[in-house]
Amino acid sequence: MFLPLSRLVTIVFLVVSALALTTLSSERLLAQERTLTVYTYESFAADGGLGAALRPLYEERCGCSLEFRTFEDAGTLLNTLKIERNQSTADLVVGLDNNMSAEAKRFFRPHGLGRNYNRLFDLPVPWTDSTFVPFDFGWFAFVYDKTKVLSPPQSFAELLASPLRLVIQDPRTSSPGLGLLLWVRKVYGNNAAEAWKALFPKVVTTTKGWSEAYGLFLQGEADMVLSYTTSPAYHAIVENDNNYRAALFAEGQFVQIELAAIAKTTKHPALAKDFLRFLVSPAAQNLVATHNWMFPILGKDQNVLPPDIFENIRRRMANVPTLSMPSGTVLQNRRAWIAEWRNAGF
Amino acid sequence: MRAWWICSLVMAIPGIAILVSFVAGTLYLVDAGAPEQYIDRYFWHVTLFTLKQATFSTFASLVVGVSVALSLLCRIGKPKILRILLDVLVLCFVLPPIVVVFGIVDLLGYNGLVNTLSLYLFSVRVFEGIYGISGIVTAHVFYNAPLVAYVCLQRFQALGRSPLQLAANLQFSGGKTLRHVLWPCLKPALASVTAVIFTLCLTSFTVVLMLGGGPRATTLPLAVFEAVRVDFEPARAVFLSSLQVLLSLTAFFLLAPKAWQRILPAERADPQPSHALASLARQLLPRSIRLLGDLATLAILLLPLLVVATGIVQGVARGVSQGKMFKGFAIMTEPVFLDALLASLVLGACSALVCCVVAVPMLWSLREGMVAKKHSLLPKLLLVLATCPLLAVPPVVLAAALFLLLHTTALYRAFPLPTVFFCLVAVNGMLALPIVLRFFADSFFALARDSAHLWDDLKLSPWRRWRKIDMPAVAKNFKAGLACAFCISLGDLSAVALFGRHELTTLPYLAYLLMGRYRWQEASLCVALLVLLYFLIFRLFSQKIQGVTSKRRRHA
Repeated sequence: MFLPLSRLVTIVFLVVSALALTTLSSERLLAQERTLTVYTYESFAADGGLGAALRPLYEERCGCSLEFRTFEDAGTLLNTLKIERNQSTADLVVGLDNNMSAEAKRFFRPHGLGRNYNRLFDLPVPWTDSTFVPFDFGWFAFVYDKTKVLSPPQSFAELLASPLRLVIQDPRTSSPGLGLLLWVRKVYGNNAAEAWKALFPKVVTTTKGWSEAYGLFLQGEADMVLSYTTSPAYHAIVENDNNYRAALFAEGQFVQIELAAIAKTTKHPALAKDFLRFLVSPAAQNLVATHNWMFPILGKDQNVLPPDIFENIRRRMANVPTLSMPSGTVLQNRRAWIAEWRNAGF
Repeated sequence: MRAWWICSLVMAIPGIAILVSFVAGTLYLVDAGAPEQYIDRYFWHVTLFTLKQATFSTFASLVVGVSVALSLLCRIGKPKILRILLDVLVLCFVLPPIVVVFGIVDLLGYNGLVNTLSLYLFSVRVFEGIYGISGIVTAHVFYNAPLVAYVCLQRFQALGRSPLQLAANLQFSGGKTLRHVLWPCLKPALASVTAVIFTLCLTSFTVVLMLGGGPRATTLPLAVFEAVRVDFEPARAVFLSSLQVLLSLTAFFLLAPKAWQRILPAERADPQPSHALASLARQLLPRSIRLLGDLATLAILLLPLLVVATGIVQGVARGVSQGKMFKGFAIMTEPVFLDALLASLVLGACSALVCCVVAVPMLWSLREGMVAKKHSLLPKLLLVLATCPLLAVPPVVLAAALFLLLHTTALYRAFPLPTVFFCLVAVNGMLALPIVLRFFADSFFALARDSAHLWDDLKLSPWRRWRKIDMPAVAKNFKAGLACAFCISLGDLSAVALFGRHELTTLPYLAYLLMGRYRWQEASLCVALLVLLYFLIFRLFSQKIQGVTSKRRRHA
């Protein structure tokens, strides 16, 4: 009378172990000999992401196989590098950004693509680094629905004075959150703490990552969300919804530049260098806009043509200063600035 | 027979190992004079806030849980409704935090159901925002009140109808019934539940991050995360985790050992329908309490339902915006979705097995110890040691430790995917252990109290005894435990995220990924399907349970 249970357990166990073995072992057997291991953040490698789109193109080009090891986000990625140190299996790391590059620099070797490469890039700030190669960029911005927010703030000062409800991300756990921290610091300098005190009453909640914040915004929990100037492009292109807008501030928008670099631990330096060259080639850059929803780093003169709406956003951005901060400064001050943010919230 | 305590010692090894490493780490820090530098204004704020939210949450969960149990007691006469209500209740405490948070936003958010209704009816918003400590407590109540209600209902069932009949004959008032009949019966069970809830609230992480509202709402697990992630200060992380383990252990020793001392009377695993009990309860309990309970039950039931409804509405909306209604559901046929579904099911089933395989010998050995030496402290201590660190250490930390240990080894290099898979199974199995233990522990121990001398006379081998005596008695609880463990590991995000291999994506993680790629509508559809899947699993398991009981009744 208690047979059904034991039978159930046995059947489940057998089925499960069979499934597990077949799904897990097949991949290893099929792996090709020359494999380039890329550490990246999850949505880069995920289905529909830029990495997933580039992979077949590159594998055909090099005759090797490209393996992604994914991490929740760039922060986790950097921590893994710190933990693994010289034990790392990475050949390449794709997806750290300009705000954390100083901290990560010791894990990489110079890219060796030559100085002239940096001149090709169509970036709002000049790029001179010889370790990291940029592959896309964007500006942080507060995004809103124009049917709900009728008079959006034109500047940070207006935002602080407005009655809008905001969702932002935690600077300790997310890169837009850190971006906002630096943005506020850049605009308000030593008065940043007061600016935060004025901002906090408008903040509905602070989320762990971009995804949760954007989700809450779409659910109608807030009027504005900290995101990117390119976010409206997604809604316009994929959802045919032209109501989303990014507010541009007179003080300027803070820039994020996403980077790739060759790990010191690589066993295939030449191949890794070749991948970087591919990543900044027009073939790959043409996929950036609609796969990573960021701006490509090559311009029209290189035959990289993102959809019109990206062009429109860039044209609007021409009237607004681009703000950035040397990553050495970020490294030195981040802890103090996070403490400042934290104490303003008490 | 001394084998029992060797056995339980083995079972407690993971817990003890975690504990010892924390103690060693703390001693090292104290030696280096480090702790002083970590104890500042922020530290005190974090510690106090952690305790504050856990205390509020536990108290609110107990109040809401008991009122839900009372409301269910009045409905215990209708088998079908009771069955579904119980399934949803159990479902509630295994739902992934991200689902719960969105459910709460759907219900109580700025544009949530309650606000929309009151805006329509009275032109005012009830809630301006649910973020901050109120949001955290709300989410914790949603998680823990069903657990309380479930345990309470079991106790009412064990109480039977004669005390209530007596109360009715003596014409007790509602308050008197509560005080003299129902409360004494709940008290022993509530003590251990309180301990579990308090520790769960201490370690809660995602909920605090999303509903906390800002830096003010920082708890210890979040501070540990900050130490590891932002500052990369392992020493501080060790110090803070030790503190966390210490707090949880203190809570356990204050609340739980008392409960373990008193072996509870045999409980029929699942509350069974009883007309007599229901009508007595309706007769005795005042209307106001019943109304309160009904409201609480409704709110708790509405939440997963809303999540499902929102998901389907989003799917339809997406379809409509693309011209065809069914196109919105296209994600369900995509390989990514099917892979994630398969991975979730395999992972869930394996973790559930691991969990139960660990739980049964653990309780077995503990029981032997209790039978051999009635009030000895050692077995209780061992059980607490074995489960408490698992409760106290956030899964993120547990997974991180395993990851650190394994990922540079040759094994990982040779077979990355299987290694990751087995780590995930281990972590998730361990995560589910405390809850599963709660499911079996009482009925398992009750069996010892009732018939220990009989077994000794029969001189059965352990295996035969398990098959012939224990198994039939705990089968129902065993299955409920399996279902719970299954769902807990199905919904876990943190461990999967840490090992993050994009080949191994589970369903909740897929939803999270879709959200990260602007595909909000599909993400909510995925979450809705996840909730439906959970419900299906529970229905499946509980139907099996019913099948077994009805068959047994026929035989009898």
